[in-house]
Amino acid sequence: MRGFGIIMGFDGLGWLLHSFAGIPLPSHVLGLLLLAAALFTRVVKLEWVEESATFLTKHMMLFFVPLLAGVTAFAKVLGDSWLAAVVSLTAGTLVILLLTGLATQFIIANRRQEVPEVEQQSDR
Amino acid sequence: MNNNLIADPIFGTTLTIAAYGAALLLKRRWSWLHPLIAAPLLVYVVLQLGGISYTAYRVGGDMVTYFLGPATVAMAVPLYKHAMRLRRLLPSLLLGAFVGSFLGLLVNAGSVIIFGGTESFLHAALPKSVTTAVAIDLSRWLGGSPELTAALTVTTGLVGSVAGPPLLRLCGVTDKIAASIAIGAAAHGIGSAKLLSESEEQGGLSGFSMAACTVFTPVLLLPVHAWLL
Repeated sequence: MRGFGIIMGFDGLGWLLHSFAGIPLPSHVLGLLLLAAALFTRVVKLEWVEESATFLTKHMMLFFVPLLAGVTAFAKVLGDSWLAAVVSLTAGTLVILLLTGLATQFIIANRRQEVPEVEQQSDR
Repeated sequence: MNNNLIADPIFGTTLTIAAYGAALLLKRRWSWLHPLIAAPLLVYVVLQLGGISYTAYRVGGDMVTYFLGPATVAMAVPLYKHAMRLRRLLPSLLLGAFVGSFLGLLVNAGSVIIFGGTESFLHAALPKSVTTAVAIDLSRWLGGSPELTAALTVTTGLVGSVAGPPLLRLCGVTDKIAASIAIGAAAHGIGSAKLLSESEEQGGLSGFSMAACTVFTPVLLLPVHAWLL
């Protein structure tokens, strides 16, 4: 329960910063950034939140179900843009995948030349 | 059906959880049937059979969707855990995920604009390469429809998880690390789950890439959001 409380607290903090301090990022994303910062600076210990966070991310699929069930209510928007939808979902996704893969491969190869011991890390 | 029952939030929450549970059971029998297709379909069928409107179901459905917020915040934990494990390679991996986030937005915007998508479709489709919870949050923020974004994001993940690994191999991305980063950046959690079922290392790398993109993508979207308002 402590973990759940901490996560809800960061969610609330994100909401406050978004709604009242006017930080132009979505509130839950702000909560994510703040919790990540708190973990890296060890303000929040991993053990405090690990169990609750794992529970929430493990069952994340459940939380999308109502939205997905309602997509037919928005069929009109989809119908107007069906070609864009098909292209961006298939070709678009594959282009992103491939270019990211090639770029990352290039970045890693360059880094290995500079720091040879990185190679040994790759089997982890 | 009794209207009082449907108007109670317990109807929507129970139906959602039951459909999710049933979808998980169905997956054991037919492993290709993704729960994110089966569960919404089951809800939809029940609503159609009972003549219940989506608006009535939403009373309870919204209570389930509420937990997307805390679940989004909870993504900080896998981000931190993966980052600690991958310390040595971290700069390269972060750079790779950054490139992935940037390409994701660029290609999503480009393909929608070139192929004649409407503006409201663009707002819903722009964040579809990041993990669903964050994509929905970003879509709301840009003024898109969260329902549409959820459907587009899940489809993106399914396409990427099926076609991604063979495509990368075919096109010469032989480095397993690079391939995992690409799948995390382009096909978020669904792609990562597929990799995780094959190798824990690749699934972890892909999960890191997905989590890193949840930080980069909103920041990259800031100018877009400022321009929209």
